[in-house]
Amino acid sequence: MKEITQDLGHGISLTRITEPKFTTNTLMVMMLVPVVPEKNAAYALAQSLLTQSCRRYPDNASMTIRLDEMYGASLNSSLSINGGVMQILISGSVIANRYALAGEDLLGDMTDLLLGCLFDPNVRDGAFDAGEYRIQRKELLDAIDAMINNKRGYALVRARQIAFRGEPDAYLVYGTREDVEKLDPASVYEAYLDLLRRAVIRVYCVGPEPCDGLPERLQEAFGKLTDRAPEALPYEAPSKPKPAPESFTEPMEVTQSKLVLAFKGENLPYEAFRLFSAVYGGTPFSMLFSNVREKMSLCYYCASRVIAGKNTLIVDSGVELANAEKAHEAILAQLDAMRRGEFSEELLENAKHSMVNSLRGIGDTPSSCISDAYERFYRPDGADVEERVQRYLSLTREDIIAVANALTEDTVYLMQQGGVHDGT
Amino acid sequence: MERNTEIIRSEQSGAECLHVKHQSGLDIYIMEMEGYHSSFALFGTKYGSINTRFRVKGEDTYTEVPEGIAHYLEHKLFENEDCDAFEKYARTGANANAYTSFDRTAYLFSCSEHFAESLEILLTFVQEPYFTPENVEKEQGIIAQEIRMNDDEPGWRVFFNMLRAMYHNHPVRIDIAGTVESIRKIDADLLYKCYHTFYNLHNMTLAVAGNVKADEVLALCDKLLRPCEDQGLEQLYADEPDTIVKNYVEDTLPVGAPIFNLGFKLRPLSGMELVRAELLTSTMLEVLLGPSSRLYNEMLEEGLINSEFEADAPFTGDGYFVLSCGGETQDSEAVRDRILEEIRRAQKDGFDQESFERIKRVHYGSMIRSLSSVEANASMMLNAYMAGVSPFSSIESLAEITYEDALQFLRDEVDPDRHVLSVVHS
Repeated sequence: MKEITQDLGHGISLTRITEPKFTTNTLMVMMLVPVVPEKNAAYALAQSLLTQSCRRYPDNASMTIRLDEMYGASLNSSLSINGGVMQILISGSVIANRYALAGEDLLGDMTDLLLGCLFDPNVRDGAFDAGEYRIQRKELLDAIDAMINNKRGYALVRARQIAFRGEPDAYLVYGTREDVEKLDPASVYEAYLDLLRRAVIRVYCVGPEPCDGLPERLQEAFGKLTDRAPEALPYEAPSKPKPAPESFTEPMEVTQSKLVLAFKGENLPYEAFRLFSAVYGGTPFSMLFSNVREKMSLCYYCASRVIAGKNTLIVDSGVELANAEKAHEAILAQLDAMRRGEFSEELLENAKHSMVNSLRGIGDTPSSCISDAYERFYRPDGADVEERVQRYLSLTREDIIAVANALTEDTVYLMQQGGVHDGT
Repeated sequence: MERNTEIIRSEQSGAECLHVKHQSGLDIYIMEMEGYHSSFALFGTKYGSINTRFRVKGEDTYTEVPEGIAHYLEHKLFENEDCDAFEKYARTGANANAYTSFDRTAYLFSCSEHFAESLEILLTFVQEPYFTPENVEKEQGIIAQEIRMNDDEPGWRVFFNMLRAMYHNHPVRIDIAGTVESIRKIDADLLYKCYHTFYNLHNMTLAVAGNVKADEVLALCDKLLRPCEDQGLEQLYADEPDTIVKNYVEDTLPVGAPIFNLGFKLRPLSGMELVRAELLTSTMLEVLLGPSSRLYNEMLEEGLINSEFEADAPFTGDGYFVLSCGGETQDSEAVRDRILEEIRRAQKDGFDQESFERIKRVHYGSMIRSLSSVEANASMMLNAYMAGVSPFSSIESLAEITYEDALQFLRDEVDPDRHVLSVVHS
């Protein structure tokens, strides 16, 4: 694997990763700005409008036909929040030129298409096309309404809203219905132009071919962005622990209750916090899995995860309402046990193996290559995979006990089965 | 140990894998993928939720088992006499799991180091069942919660409701995990009976891909696989009429917008005939209902559907074949009527041939794309074994199917009257 990063000017960089084993080429443009919750809905609409059509392919049908012609190439967009940073991705993926049946330059075609979406969007008179806007607006409103369909995901969103109340992360990444309804084709286009001005922009290209000529094409396209003022990115946006845990119960017409707990701490070292989670509830041999699921048979899942940039650990579980309190107590009891150092050396070593196994698998998919390159960019130390492996291996049980003792219970959310949801 | 080996090549993609018919009875597929760090292994049996009535050589009568037992067995197989398989995997760092579907159960792991140790764990624990009244009883609470979780999942509910409205008797209509009531009937003896019937190596396959060496895999197989006799397994399915049970079914659950599945019951097929039919129907459905089709864009423009709407991959197996599509809509009956009208029109007048060729290209691209994935390659080999065909048979058959074949299939095999509309709303 060969990786080259170069400056395209105006604070924009290109990272090319050449990896002969891949059968596809992936091109991704990453735009990063500090989270401003009021803008979430505008960015959500902008990212979908940019990839559903452009001036050359002005509707869903013509865009889909073009992608089909390129052997089912994909053109995607997404937005997510990482700490205090909103990440907006526009990406395209197409099979490598060597597989083209008629010798087409598919990477060149994908580059044209992606740049067309970004710099020649479906815009008239300073506003996104009204017809396309109407469709994407409905899509977004439907997606916001449909959040409730996935009960586990919905419970996590609700718990985050309580845990991070008053912070940007309490807001929905796609905004609310009310936010969307305030927007129009012109204001969303203006938000996009503002994004191009303010965002830190990183471009990634991963594939088996060296992408000759790509830097020049990107340089020419991004060179048009002369009015640039990228903002500093607050990757760490610690959440203040509440003085006492806050409990919230939401009745819903479901057959299984969902219990979500948030724990917060201060100054949690990056690797130690993640290794703690692997020992506590992040693996199928963890304290929570072995005890709350396997020994006590209370639930099908009971797992922990770290919320990046938020010094927060989330534990979620699906339980019978009658067992919810028992499960809550068991989850806290396992944390107490870890605070006292009551976990085996073998469990700690196994958690390290698990972390190392994940790290050493990086590089086998285009997306993991990009995630890794991005992580090296934003983490101050820029450690590579092997350095990160060594950091995990050098952690001690005292490091894990220290994390356990630094965490306090902050939020308890219960989706209560058998009730009727009031629609809020 | 004696082995029958063959190298299977795909002319279309240049990919290749090794197939070994092992003396133990097991079919082994290996794809060495140069330059990859990770490996993926699947050890699977042709045993899923539909296999509820069976007998082996020497038995006069068929055994009938409770719904959900294949899935229950999958959970319990992780527990051996000395410890849990997850604990063993934990020592190698591998990421392990298992799944049960309608017609198969598979145990899997992925790893980027200690592959041989993890493969040894996989081959060992799957061959060493340990069921006791106590450990079987203990699992009931966990699986009951899994069933409840699925009950609250609208996509799961709308799909199973559709199957129940489509099939009168075939066990595809039952939930993979069974019901809270049916799993209460499962005990250690029944689990052993099912295990010894279906976890016979003649009924199983091992598929590995990625950073693996065939010699290493085969040496471990020679060491660990326990040869067994082919038991002459026979399965009995209740007679299933061509007709459906009813055209419409609805259910309630908290959802943001009503969701629906529209399915068509087709004549079941198998082997290469099924591979070809799956390619024909998935291409045809994409032409008629996919994002570039006239109907999709009209319905999108009218606000009748959103981009959640899609034609599903054909749902097929031993004795069932369903074509379906689904999504969110406020007016599922209007969507159904438009789709039925479009299918009838296409049966009469044909459909766009250029689009058909274009979608064939999309399938080709998708197959090439998946060759980059360690997991997708292992799954492709396992799927081929389960279907009784060769790996790469899809990509090779794709080059051969024609517009005329698809139109003929649509006219001969798809009956718009045998449709079911399933809806879940708040």
